Amino acid sequence: MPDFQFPEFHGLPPFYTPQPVPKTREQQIDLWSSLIISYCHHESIKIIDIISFLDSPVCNNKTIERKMPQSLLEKIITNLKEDGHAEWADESHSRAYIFYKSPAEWGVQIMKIIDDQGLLGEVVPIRRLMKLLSEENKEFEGCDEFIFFRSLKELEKKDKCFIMGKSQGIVTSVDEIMGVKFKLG
Amino acid sequence: MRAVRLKRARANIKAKRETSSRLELEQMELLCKNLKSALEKHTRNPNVAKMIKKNPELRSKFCSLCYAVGIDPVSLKSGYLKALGLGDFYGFLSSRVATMCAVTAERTGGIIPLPVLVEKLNKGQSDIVTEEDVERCIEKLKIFESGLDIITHPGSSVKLVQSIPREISGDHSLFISQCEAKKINHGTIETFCSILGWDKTRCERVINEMMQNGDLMLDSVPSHPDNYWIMALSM
Repeated sequence: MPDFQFPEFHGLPPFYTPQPVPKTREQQIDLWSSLIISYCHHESIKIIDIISFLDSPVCNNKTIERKMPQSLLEKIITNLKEDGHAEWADESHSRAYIFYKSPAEWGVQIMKIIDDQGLLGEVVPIRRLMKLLSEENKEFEGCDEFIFFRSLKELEKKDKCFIMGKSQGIVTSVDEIMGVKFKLG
Repeated sequence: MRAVRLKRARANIKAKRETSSRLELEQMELLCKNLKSALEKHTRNPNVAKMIKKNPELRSKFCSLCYAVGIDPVSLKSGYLKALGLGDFYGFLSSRVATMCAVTAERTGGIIPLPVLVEKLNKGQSDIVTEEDVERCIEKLKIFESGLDIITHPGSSVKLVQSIPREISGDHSLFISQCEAKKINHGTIETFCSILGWDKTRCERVINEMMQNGDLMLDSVPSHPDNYWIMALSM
């Protein structure tokens, strides 16, 4: 795979200083957010450790001798979290999941495939569902179980499907799902 | 007798003048006809249209020729000159100019020096466009209330393209054009004071305003004086 091409702003020192003017800072955080998503996608990074990520070539630009402060990275993760592209992996906010596609975006694709296959209103066993999705859309091969689970949960929250667990109680991972019933309309 | 001779001479002169002006007119007409048929011949040649698109110098000369005879080459809708595709050329370029301004506006705060804009448009393109081409497009785009405008600060040769309509003070445009002229895209307050020959108060006021507008970004590193980056000249 070719090396990741950093965008122009990555080589400009002021982007490593949290901007004092709110509007500029928002734009700065937006630029960084999309850079981090595409970088993690390119390097197949699913989860980042805040401290070590600050030393990665993304946040630490040795050419211009600028390193992103932790406070800025935290703001970027918070921004990514708001539109569903990241999630803190622990209480102490030391690690974060980075989603190339948000659970909501995956959810839309899941519903489209289910609709195309005429499976609306049906109960689909979980293994069959996973197989079907990766057959229909190659992208699903890169969708790991954690985010897949989040996408189903997101759909359930929107009342698009009903997740049936193998046993009573709250379902917390894909392994505990028996099947998913997709609702009509 | 003298009066009669004078009269005859006058009539002679008059007749001569008429013949000569008729000849001139005929010549002019012939010239125009030749020019028209030559143009027609050339416009039918697809290579000419291609050359006009490829060669900025030829395009510039052709456009000034058109303007000189009162034809707007950009808004040609019909006729043999349409085959040249200049209207399409500028139409396409205009949409690229508008897009480029929109794309960069967010990061540059809506001011971009014309040379920088042209450089961006030419990046990775085989057909080079000139500042003149881009200016022509911006003029045309005004009809659509595009908000695009070209501002020149008195006493500076650098033209700035403004893409977000707002009041730009003389000091702001002077600031950007002086730095563009000196090829400087960042500096400390002291740097800017010396470039512009302003005192610290005026410099700080302008920097502060330009920070608020997003024209400048701050680069702050411990144990170094703060640096301000002019976005229009950096990206």
